[in-house]
Amino acid sequence: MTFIAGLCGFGLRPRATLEIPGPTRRLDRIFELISACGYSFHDLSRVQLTSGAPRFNMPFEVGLTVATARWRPSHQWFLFEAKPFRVQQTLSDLSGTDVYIHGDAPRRLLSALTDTLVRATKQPTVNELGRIQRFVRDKSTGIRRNYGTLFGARAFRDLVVVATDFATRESAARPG
Amino acid sequence: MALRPRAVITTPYPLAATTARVLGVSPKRYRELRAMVTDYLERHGSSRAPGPGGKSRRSKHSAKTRTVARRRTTRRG
Repeated sequence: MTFIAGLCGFGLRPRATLEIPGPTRRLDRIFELISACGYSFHDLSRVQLTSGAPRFNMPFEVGLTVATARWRPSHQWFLFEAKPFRVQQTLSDLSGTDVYIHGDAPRRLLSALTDTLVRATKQPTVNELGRIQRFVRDKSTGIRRNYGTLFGARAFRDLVVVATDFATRESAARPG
Repeated sequence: MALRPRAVITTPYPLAATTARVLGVSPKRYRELRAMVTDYLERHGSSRAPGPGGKSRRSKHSAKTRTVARRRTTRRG
């Protein structure tokens, strides 16, 4: 949710594998999404156990992104983790890669995003991104009630649309 | 560790309508979502405007100047 707020605050349009419905040709759609985007943001702290088994989707998608960036160098990717130096233990193949640490704190994640992105005009501050994040959090309650979960295609789309609308209106009120 | 240079975004802020279309949100749902944002901004105010019930910004004149101006207005009335 904080990623959605932060990226919309920078004027980007977040896409996620959550949008991809059903298991059919999922891998192709993931490749399509990565190829269609200029930037990728991967949070490895979300690799958690589901029914006792770890989910490897996140690290796998990092691999796909790294491969994409090899043949399309304009594609930029950023790696996030909650704890410093954990990536060296969990994914040592990425040694030497800059990892942005957020400590599982929304404000630190927004601050980390300002270390990865900069707008040519109308640069948002961490406070302004925080305001978008609070708005998205406020609206997420109703959206979750509507769909039963936030981790679905329709909930994700709703969150992106409201965050985009809010960020665009706020940016219009902000001096250049 | 020295972090790599930041990515520079030069594109303008996307319109919510375009985003809704790209993501496949129906026009009806888009109107509902827009109303949610409008309602929130009306209740909390924009980041540049004082929120409803919030303190209005004081004028740049001093308290003494304001008192004199008020007395003059009262006398005229």
